[in-house]
Amino acid sequence: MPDSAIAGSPLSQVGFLDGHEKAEQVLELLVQSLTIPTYHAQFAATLPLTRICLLLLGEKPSSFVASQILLLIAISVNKTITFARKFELISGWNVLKHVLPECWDPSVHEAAFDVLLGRVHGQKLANGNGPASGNTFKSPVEVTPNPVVCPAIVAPILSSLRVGLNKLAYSYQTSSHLDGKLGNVVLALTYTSRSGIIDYRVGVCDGSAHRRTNGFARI
Amino acid sequence: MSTIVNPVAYKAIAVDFELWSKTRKEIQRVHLEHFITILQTSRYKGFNIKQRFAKLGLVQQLIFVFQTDWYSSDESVGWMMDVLKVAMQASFTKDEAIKPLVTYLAANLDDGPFLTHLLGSIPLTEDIRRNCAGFCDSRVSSITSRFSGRA
Repeated sequence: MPDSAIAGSPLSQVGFLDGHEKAEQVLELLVQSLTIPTYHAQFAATLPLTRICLLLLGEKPSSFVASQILLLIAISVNKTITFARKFELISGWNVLKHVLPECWDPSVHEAAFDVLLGRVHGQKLANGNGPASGNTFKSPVEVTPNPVVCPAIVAPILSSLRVGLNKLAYSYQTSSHLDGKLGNVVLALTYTSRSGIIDYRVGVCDGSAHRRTNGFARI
Repeated sequence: MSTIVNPVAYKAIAVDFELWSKTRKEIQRVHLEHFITILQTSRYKGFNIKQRFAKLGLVQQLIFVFQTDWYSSDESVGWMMDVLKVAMQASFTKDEAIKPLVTYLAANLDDGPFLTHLLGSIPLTEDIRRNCAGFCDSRVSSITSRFSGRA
């Protein structure tokens, strides 16, 4: 007879095996609701949103949780002009720099760049209030668009890039016929704040003075 | 008329999810859908939310059910999520929805060793639920202090 069929029992066995999956679905519901300005304002007035983001993110989040928290951050950055600064004051961006590389995947990638560019699910918000957007009092048509809304996310993105490239270099090193002559991945980058464009070069140092550049890309 | 005539009976019967979880799938679906009717579809939804559901704690009840194994199939969990969304948006206040949701998420999203040990095979009692809420308050400071030294 299952425990739940025992008459009058005030205790219930915890279904922990799929509890995490249920919690992720509830998180998705909550974040969806917070895209509505009324609910977002109510939530922000009740609890410190910056600290809640870190609390729900945790130390080792899954990719889904990380992407949902980044979505919440993107919404908050666009709704509150001071959110990015408040998040910095509690070392939020620093936490992201260490947490995101371990759970990076395509969904986290999309969410992180949405934060950078002031988008939600890839769509630019109509009432962007980001500090770099310049759209607070003028319509988007009248102002030269600056694609970068939240430059603070650049450090976590680059940290994830560095970790990913080092993993690639390590796997290349262990499988390469050069047998350890291959050194570290070299990452040189330039960030131009005016244009908001990040240029980076990826090269592999083969131990000699010569440095080969494998690719050049623009974000 | 989609409203509640007898609140006492409603609280004793309609919100007893353990009871309804033992019924057939079709009955479970209709039972859960009636909450959506009362809170979202009915023209008396405003009255229902403010007068009938004000002290019912439906969001907290739903969150408790998620932590049991009463509704185990994906279908029924999906229906419950729909009800949770409607209940949450109908009464999005600090005590009704916000704090219970955040406490639940903070306790269940993290698979750390503390929570695994605490919730793995221990029956869920009121004391443990309260301990989880207290534990969550210290999590933020531990997370930021752990990573602040690596700036």
